[in-house]
Amino acid sequence: MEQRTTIGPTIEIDGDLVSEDPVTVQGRIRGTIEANALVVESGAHVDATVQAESVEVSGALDGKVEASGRIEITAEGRVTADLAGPRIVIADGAQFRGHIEMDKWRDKERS
Amino acid sequence: MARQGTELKTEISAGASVRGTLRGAEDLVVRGRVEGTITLDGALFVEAGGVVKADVTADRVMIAGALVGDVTARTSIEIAAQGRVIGDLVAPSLRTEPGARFAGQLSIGDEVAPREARPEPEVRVAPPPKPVEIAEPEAPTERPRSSTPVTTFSPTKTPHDERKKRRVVIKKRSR
Repeated sequence: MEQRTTIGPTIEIDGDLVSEDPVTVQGRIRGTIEANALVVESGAHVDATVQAESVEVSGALDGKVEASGRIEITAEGRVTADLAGPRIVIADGAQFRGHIEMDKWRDKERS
Repeated sequence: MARQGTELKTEISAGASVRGTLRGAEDLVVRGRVEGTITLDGALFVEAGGVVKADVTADRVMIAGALVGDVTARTSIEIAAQGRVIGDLVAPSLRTEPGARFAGQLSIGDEVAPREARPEPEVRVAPPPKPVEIAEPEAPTERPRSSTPVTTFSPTKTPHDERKKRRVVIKKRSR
């Protein structure tokens, strides 16, 4: 059985979420998120510092994102954040404001 | 455990942990870990292996894992056979399966007052300690003259030591 953490649409978390399993957010999270794969669904609002292997945003994301893999902002995504990661996709129609760092990540030691 | 109620399901998986406050209007399934506070208009399921260290307010609370904290449920609290709970529980009804472990205070029934309004439960009020009659110490009038230090277990306890010891015991009881 696949393990997945799901934060439903009515849920609000103020604090830290750490997960070895993939995380889907439909609700609201303020704080920090550490996960392998993070999906911020349409309607969700994440106001957080995110560290993950991959991040896909279709909802709203404010804060900071660092990924060891791919960061994708879909056409529905609204992101105001600094992104750091080796592979970044911003779809046509997406909203984005922030800084993008693609090479710094490779030199940096992962903490 | 059978789930019913809202379709929405939030799940904290076995590899996940949340620290902070969690609020919502849907059911929450915890297989991982939650520390902080949980406030739900919905049911909380702490599954086997799940650990919740939080004060919880929810419609129903079902515990098959471990929960440490105070729980207020609007309808019921259920502790499954493998469930372990430490904390004070307030609910109109409580069900525990044989084997469930619980330590804390219970306020069960329809007329349970809200937590704030509850008077200090009488159970906690210990009867006033009985005056201690200290028997004339049997302490020998002569202390051993040997140069070796007197050990705590030596029978030559002074009356003062005796009283001190008793006082400590009483203090513990009156809590």
